[in-house]
Amino acid sequence: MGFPTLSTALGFGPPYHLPTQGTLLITDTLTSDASFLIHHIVTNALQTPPPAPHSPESPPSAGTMPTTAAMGVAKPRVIMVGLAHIFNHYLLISRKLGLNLLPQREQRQYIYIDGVSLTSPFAKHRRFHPADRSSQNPTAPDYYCPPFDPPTDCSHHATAYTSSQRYLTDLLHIIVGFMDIGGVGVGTGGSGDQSTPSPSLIFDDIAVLWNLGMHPSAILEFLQACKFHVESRNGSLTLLAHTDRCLSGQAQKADDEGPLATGGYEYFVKSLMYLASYILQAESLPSGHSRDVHGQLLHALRGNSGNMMERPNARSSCLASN
Amino acid sequence: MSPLEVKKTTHSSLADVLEFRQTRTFVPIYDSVRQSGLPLLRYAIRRRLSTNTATGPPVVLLVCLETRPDALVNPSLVHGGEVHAIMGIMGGSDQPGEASSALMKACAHMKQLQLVNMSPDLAQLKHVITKTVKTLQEEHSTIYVYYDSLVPFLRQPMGQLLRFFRTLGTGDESAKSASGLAISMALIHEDLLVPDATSSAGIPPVRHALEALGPVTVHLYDLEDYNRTMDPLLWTEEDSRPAFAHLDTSNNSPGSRVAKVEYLKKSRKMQIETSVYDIVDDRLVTSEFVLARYQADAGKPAEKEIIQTPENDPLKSLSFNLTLTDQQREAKNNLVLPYVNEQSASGAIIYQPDDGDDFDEEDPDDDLDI
Repeated sequence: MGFPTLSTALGFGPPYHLPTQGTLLITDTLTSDASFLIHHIVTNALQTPPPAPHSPESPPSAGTMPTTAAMGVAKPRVIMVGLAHIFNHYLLISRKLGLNLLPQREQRQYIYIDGVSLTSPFAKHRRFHPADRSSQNPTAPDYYCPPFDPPTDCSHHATAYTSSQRYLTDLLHIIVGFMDIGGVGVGTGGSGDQSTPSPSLIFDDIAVLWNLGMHPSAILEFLQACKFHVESRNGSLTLLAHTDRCLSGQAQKADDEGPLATGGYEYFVKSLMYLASYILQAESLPSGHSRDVHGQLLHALRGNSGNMMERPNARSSCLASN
Repeated sequence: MSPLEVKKTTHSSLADVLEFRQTRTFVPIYDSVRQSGLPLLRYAIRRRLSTNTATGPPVVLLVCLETRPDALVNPSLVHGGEVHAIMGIMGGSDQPGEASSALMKACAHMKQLQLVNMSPDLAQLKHVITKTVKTLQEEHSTIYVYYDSLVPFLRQPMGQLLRFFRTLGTGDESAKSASGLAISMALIHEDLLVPDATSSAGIPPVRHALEALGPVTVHLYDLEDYNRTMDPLLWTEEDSRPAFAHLDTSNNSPGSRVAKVEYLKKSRKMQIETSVYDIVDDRLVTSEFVLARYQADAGKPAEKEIIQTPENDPLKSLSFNLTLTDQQREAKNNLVLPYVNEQSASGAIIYQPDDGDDFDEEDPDDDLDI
């Protein structure tokens, strides 16, 4: 299991899997990095033993959210779309947390889609193409995202949108293909196929698509479709986005030129919040840096009622450095 | 915190608006991340489906661009009404995997569900909505259309959206006799409205353009945001939230949900009602909400008349005398102080010339020996 105290603080309840049919948005800054939450979620999903279905005599404890355990669903399949780090990064950190990802990959329990190595159009000119060595390298990803060629005329709405949509549609088909392949002795999703595990789709981090110059509407539609597919299979979707002040619209007004500096990133993050059911905001402490405490974590619930914050689940926790 | 007066009311404009009793055209509900409008939209749909019209059970069309149709209407809410749904999603009906069949199963209580692709200009989506509305209008005189988000539409040119709504008969009650009426309600995420129309992530400010479609507008606020809106001078730059800090633990707590209903009457007078609302056990509970200092006309602070009474006189407990008798005050007013005479004199300068004075106008610096 990842970080036990964090699991309790998040309130997802034993065995600390993400709630099914939920979308989790994690926001962080340079001073309070929240990537540890990604490792925590992956480790929890893969390492926690499948729980026994709870009996009517022992209902789940009050105050906890419905989990995969409550739904009678076991381990999800983790599909990681790594847009910020290569597979080795996740492999090494997972080992520190007591989980070896290599056997998980062999069992199709963990799928890694590499969005780092080849996404940029510059990757086409690399001398040693990482995809060529995929058969020999045990840590090679399951799939490489194809290069994204931004349109020459980014100012034209339809051109930028169509170019982005073409790339993202291909990526969506790949992701859904991995969702539907059979698993080995794991829990089932909602589609009724007993050999298909429920997926836990993770994007680390989604801001890279924005930085590549993709059209925000196309990204949001892509994520909407991912959410739709994940929810249909009783899975969960996790997004990580950076929310440093320098990325906000106010900071970009001074040099507002080009497709990346349209001052719209803050609105993009807000749109992600509308997409999410749960929001985890990692923030630095307002009182300044501390040796033992790195920051604080705001846990917001959107839930089925559509309310962003419900009192029992709105909480703020400290991120300790252990 | 502003002075707050809350009193229970038996009549609520908000309930009237949500049930289309006040207007039968188009109702935009402006919400935000800090105060979602989805609960109100769900309540409105539920009320509509539970109310039979004179022409029979209600016909509801859901246009879902952010949420799933089964999240808006579950089977227990249908009550004999007719629910149609259109879901805009990348790829449309050509979905990979088994997701679309799972959705169809979850939406089995709906009469019709269509998955439509979101093309860049929403042409396909608009076409399907128009076609569905026209088909329904042939059988029913009035249909109710609910949009869970109008944001993708608002990223298009405003003229296209207005033309689209006019085609549906929205915003024109006189069109009822001709082709039926499409009464609409839509959520608009107000915090995505940006002043810079060139930003591709936000949407341009459209509030005034949408006023052409209906006289009623609903704004949802968090209590703190409402106070900021009403009195920005109270919130200095240091008080403003940092970038991206869109949520805090005070949002959406009970009692902090504020709805402002703006109703533009035919006489062009604006009627505004602000209320605190909550939805408890499928019931809309509202309380009239008045900020005391905004009761005066045009938002000006009310000037209070201070009436001195012997009880509240602060001078009565002093050990020395600061007040004047009438006789003393009259003598004080009649006294002419010396500087008053000096100030009334003219400002002429009297100068006695000296023997050494040189009044040579041609060379005034002659005495300097330069």
